[in-house]
Amino acid sequence: MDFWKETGNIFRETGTHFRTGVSYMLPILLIGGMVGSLAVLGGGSHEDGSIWKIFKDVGTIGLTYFVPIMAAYTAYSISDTPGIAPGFIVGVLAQQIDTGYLGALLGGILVGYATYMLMKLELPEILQSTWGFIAPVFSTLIVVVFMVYLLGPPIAWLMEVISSFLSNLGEEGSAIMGAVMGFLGGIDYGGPFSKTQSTFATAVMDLDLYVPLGICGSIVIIPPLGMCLATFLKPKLYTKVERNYAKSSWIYSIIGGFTEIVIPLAVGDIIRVTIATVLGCTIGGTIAGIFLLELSTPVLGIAQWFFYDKPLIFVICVVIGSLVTALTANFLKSISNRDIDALDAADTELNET
Amino acid sequence: MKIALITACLAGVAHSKMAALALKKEAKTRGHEICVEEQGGHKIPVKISKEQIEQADVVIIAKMVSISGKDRFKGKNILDVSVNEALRKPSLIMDKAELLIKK
Repeated sequence: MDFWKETGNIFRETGTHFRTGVSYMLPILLIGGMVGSLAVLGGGSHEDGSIWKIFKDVGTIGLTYFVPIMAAYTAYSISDTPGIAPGFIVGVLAQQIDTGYLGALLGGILVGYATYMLMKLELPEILQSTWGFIAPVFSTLIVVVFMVYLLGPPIAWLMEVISSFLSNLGEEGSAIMGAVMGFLGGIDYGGPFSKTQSTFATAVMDLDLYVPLGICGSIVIIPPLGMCLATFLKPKLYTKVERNYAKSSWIYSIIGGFTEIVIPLAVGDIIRVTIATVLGCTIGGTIAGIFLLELSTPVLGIAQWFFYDKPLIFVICVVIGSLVTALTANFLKSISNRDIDALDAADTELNET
Repeated sequence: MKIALITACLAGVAHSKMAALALKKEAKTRGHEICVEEQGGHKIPVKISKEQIEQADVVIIAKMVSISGKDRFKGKNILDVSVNEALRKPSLIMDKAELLIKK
């Protein structure tokens, strides 16, 4: 059964397809967010004809079209180039019927699958060559009808619920959200859990909610900075390779803004370091949540410093989170029996061969 | 043997690079030749050339997102793994690649 096997393969890889969509969507969000924030920084006068007005409009374009692009490249991931156009159209439609990013993602998957299957149909030779042009039309039609009449209403309702729930969270609710996001962000350093968290944060920008992004932006700095700090506080607990790495990467962890930077410091002792970073991120995220820290631009690292509405809270959240991470890691390592000398010796041996 | 390695992650900044490093190191210690193409949202990949693909005994794809230009590797021995796997167990992947060729 070729048909069922391929269907199974496509849906088993749903995660990959979603991530591909997000991967292509991020640059658009980035451009839109950066340019839009420039307009805000440039001053309050947004009357017609001023350059800031144009910047603001460009920003809005980026922040509107990231949803269709996400759908287009989710479909692209499944059915290659023929999927892009149907995916884009379904994505725009998803926005128009108020289903937002959720509808766009589902629509992208469906239309990608439909295009893929239709393109695979075996037809008489005379039709086969034109089928490549027509198949995407049919897949678009099918999925559009499906979306508007079947999937659309429940998803739109769900989005409405999510939106009103998130905007009425208040400080306590945001604190809990911050804690959960911090937990996810600190647990696997850029793996599926942290990407779920950051995708959520960028996706709700579509609903004009900026607190999740504020939380997300501040917690990503905590694991690498905290672990670098930890090696500076008690160098004896770390191998030479780890210490050297920390020396060269602490500045990068501040200006770069990736959780991934922490990985070389974590792999040697993954469980203890993970406990430390999860704790630090959870506390940092809670602080950001309590004070409703907002970030309106999905940029990474040093650039985001200019776009927080409460920069001081951001600094406090990062400092406390990093301190917690560093102290926890050092405490856990000091009660463990990790033989640093043996590890150092192993490292030198590896370098010599 | 000769290996062509494609890595792809979300942003193309951290994970794809580290997976490539891990596998490169592993390949070197085993004396294999390896060429690498890293893909991701925030960079223009350095493409593996046509000759390199033709000469490669095995193509390893370590992906977190779908790779672009899949059809370049039609008919080659392809080993499909996740980026996380490549990061954590590079030697296991090399074992698998070697097995694939022997078949």
